[in-house]
Amino acid sequence: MLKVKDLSVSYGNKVALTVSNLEIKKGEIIGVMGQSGSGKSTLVKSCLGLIPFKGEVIIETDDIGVLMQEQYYVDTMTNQKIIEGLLNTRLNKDSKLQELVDFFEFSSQLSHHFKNISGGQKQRMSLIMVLYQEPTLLFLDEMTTGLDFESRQALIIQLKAYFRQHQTTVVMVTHYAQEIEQLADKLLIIHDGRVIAFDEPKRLFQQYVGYSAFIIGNHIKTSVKVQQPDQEYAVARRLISDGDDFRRTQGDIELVYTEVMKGEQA
Amino acid sequence: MQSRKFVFEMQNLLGNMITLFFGFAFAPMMGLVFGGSYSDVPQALNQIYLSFFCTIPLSMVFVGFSSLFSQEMERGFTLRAELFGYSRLSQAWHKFMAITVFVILSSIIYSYIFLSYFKLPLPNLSIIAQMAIFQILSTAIYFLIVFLLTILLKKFSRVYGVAMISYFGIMIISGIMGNMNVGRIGAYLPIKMFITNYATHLGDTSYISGKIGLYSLILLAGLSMIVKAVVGRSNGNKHQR
Ligand SMILES: Nc1ncnc2c1ncn2[C@@H]1O[C@H](COP(=O)(O)OP(=O)(O)O)[C@@H](O)[C@H]1O
Ligand SMILES: [Mg+2]
Repeated sequence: MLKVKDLSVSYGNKVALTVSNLEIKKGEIIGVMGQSGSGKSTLVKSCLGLIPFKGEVIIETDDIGVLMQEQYYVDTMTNQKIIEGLLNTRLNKDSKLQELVDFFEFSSQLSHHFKNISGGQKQRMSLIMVLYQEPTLLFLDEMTTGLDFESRQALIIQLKAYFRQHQTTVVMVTHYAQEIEQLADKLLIIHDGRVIAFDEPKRLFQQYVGYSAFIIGNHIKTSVKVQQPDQEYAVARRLISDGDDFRRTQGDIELVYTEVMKGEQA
Repeated sequence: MQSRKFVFEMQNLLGNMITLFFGFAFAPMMGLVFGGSYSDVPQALNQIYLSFFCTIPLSMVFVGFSSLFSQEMERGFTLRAELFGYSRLSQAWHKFMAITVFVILSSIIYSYIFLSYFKLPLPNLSIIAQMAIFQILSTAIYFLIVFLLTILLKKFSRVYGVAMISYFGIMIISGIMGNMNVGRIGAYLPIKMFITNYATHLGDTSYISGKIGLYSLILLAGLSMIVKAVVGRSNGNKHQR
């Protein structure tokens, strides 16, 4: 679906991103994580051809949708009029649009102006317009950054159902490990303009953490990594006798991310 | 043309106070104020009528449209719309259509107010047609200039600065504002030519000035070519297949 080869993007004479090889298959949902300024948006923008780049980006579809990190529509009219204008349609004559509006429970927002609706609703409005195009490849850049926990959760549940129905290939940039857990098939971590990890979360876990891990007191920083299955009981027994609260995991994304980043920064 | 996009651009203009004020209220207000001191000199009234008639596309585009469009560009709406399949050229086309409708509408309202207030007769039909053509050609020329400025300068503050300087500059050079003497050049400025040529011919049945139209068309053709080249270049880094 998407192949990137020897990609290099510079702003001025500063190289912001290099990717030697990246391949995303049809129907895969890729979660992209990395610190602010690491090059996540740059990756999205170069795949879309919005910024000049060296190298090769091959996309096997013309139906590309994108939700950019920044959101802005005109302030001169209501949301409904913006949607109708940009999609060149009428809501009351367009069942596909009505379905999307219902799906994202957006109808109460239609008569408002864009600047007056909440962050979560802004994202829904963009999603409605993006998904109306029925993209086979979809880029979501920090869709949920700045949303409160409940809005994020609601949106992710809606999207999960949508992607499952439509077999959409998705590249999703996010800061929330939980979203990767719920949605993504693969995790891609960018650091300092380079891809430092790209695989299924389970395999990254095995590679960077081990067989399993005990997270103590719900702090990622205080965790005990376990390499062999038969060591688990000893660790658990010790934690119990210490009176610690803990949970066992074999795929915690936040832990994977922290460990990958540790290796990078050490 | 796509009807909903045209409606969208109409609503976009309608929601913009600056466009409404400068596009619709400026010309009649100024016309009445300046005309007031010459209310019994028909020749002078004709000149004032035509002068502020010319400011309608000028204000609509340089003051209204430039603020609206440069903010859309700066805040990324232009790009966002492109990503929804509403290409830059299509945006330009629908915006231009909407502005032209506004200019014609405003010109009619202005003419009605000015002519009836000073009890002047309606110009001859063939002159009205020529005035309409001039108005549309002017709108197109100004539109292309501001569109180009916005694509090149991108930021609202820069575009608006240059647009406002051009706005007052054109009004001053054309003799609408103040009385700067531009000598013989004046005879070659479309607006100045239009005002002086038509002021004495508003009632004529047989007067036709091809020169002004020709000038405008040449200007328009040149500008279109530049815009096409610039828009084509700025879209030049699409993904490779
Ligand atoms: N238009 C730009 N001009 C110059 N530098 C930029 C531009 N956009 C991004 N950068 C720089 O490139 C790096 C990567 O940016 P970005 O891809 O936006 O990061 P992320 O999305 O991961 O936060 C950052 O150091 C940022 O400052
Ligand atoms: Mg970003």
